[in-house]
Amino acid sequence: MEDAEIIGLYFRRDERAIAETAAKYGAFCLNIALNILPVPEDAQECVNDTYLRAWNAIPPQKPDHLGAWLGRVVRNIAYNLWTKNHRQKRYAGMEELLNELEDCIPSPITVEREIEERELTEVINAWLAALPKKDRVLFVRRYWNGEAVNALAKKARISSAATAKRLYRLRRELKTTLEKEGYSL
Amino acid sequence: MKEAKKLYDSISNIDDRFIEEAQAGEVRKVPVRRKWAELAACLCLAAVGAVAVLHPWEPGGTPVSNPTETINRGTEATGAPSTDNIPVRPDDDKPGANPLAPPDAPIITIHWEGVAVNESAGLSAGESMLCLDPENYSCEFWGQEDVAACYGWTLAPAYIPEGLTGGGQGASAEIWREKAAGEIVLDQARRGFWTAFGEDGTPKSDDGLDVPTGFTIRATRGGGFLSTLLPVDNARTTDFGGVSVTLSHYSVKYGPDDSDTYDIYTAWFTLKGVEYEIEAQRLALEEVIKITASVINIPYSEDFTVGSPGALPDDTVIDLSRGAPGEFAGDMHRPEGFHENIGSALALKMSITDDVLAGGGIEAHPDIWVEE
Repeated sequence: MEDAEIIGLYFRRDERAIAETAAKYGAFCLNIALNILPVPEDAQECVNDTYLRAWNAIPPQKPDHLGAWLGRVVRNIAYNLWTKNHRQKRYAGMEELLNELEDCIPSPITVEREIEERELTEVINAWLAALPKKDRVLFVRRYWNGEAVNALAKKARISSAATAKRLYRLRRELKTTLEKEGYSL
Repeated sequence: MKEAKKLYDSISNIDDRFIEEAQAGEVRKVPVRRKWAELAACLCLAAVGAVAVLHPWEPGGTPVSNPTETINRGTEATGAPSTDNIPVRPDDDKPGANPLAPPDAPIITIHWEGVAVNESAGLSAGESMLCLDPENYSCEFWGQEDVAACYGWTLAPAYIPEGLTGGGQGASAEIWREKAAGEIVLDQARRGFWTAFGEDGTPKSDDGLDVPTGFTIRATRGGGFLSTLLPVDNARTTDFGGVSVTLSHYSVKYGPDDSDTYDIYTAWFTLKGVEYEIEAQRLALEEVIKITASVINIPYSEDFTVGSPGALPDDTVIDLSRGAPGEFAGDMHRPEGFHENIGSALALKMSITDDVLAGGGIEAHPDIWVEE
């Protein structure tokens, strides 16, 4: 079913909207949650919460891109749950991702001013737009989807080492871009 | 860690188009419960067949005295796909006959008025593999050897348009098993032929347009992929020598104002219980038809016709030997030292392997012995 039709079901308060959303985007949402939360029960709970959020938010919201919208919601819910559980030392899978992102943090010496989060998003958008597609997709799948390096390597049919190297190069490029603009985080 | 979290949050809000782009080719489907027990039988049969093919030749490559039996088994097990409804040349089964002697000018006949191309509304969001719940299903990857054993060949069509190569990469497959029973529930094998490849093995463009030129052939026995293009209601099919093929087309817009387009054609058909999709990017329809015909027309038939029967004034006859000499089945050579009765499918594969290896295109298949 097309996204517009699914959104139409939400607007008509037709409960089939949930079933159609689950059929089309259920696996996508679950994978994102699993990339952040290695406990399957927690990930499934996040996906269910995502459906509930969608039901409550649409309408009045009318996402232009339903998949991306759902992905963003499940990502936020999963991250919040990870933060909560991380404090309780339940697991630490997300730490790896955040540790990698530290490579992108500009050196304080070059800093002119601290960048706002929204502005940082715009810089990242511009930087992503200038990347070759395969690099852009790799970066988004790693740092937005949270997919494991090994899984990305398998999909791209290259070695994990080569994938990690490409990701490292991309992180350094982002860092250089931020430094050139004179930003700090 | 605070800075990294800020970066993570900023990445959370990147443009939707980048998120959708990254998901393209990913899947979006709930668990599919289709069981597929026959695959085990297929693997066993193929394994037996593979042994039968390899055994008759001694390590030095000496042909055995009675290749006829080998031909039959080899064609079933490791040869290119064949169909019951494809005409076989009358002398193919005669002992001592030369079933592969190519005609002087190998041709297929295309009745263009019988070629139906369905105009798709766009690219399918789930062009790749269906995704299953990782809690209940596991994914594994197969190399070319396993692909050949399961699907019956290595997905290298007899006709490959000039300028395209496999980039040294063989066929591969992605297989999903139900964890509890260990049964395969989804599968997809694939192989690509492109004008150029990047260092990481992905196709790349060799001209100014950042869109690679070439094609991918995908195969599934148990249902493993969605069509590249959105399906068309009441899609019409085209007859390829008795096999119904659904040809579809979509013009993809690109450029600053979507002012330019490039073509994507797909050919979807089923042979011997295997579903195939040939997805061609920036190739002409005629090339797509040639590729498809070369997959279906095995054993090679001079009478192979595409389109509805009955010649009309605007029929087009294509001489396949012109476009890519040395690549079409009819142009194949038999490796030196090979028995003249070697089975068509196996000899074809060997010929292709030999030819393309010479050009640095495709890796040798371990089941295919090539006389040096």
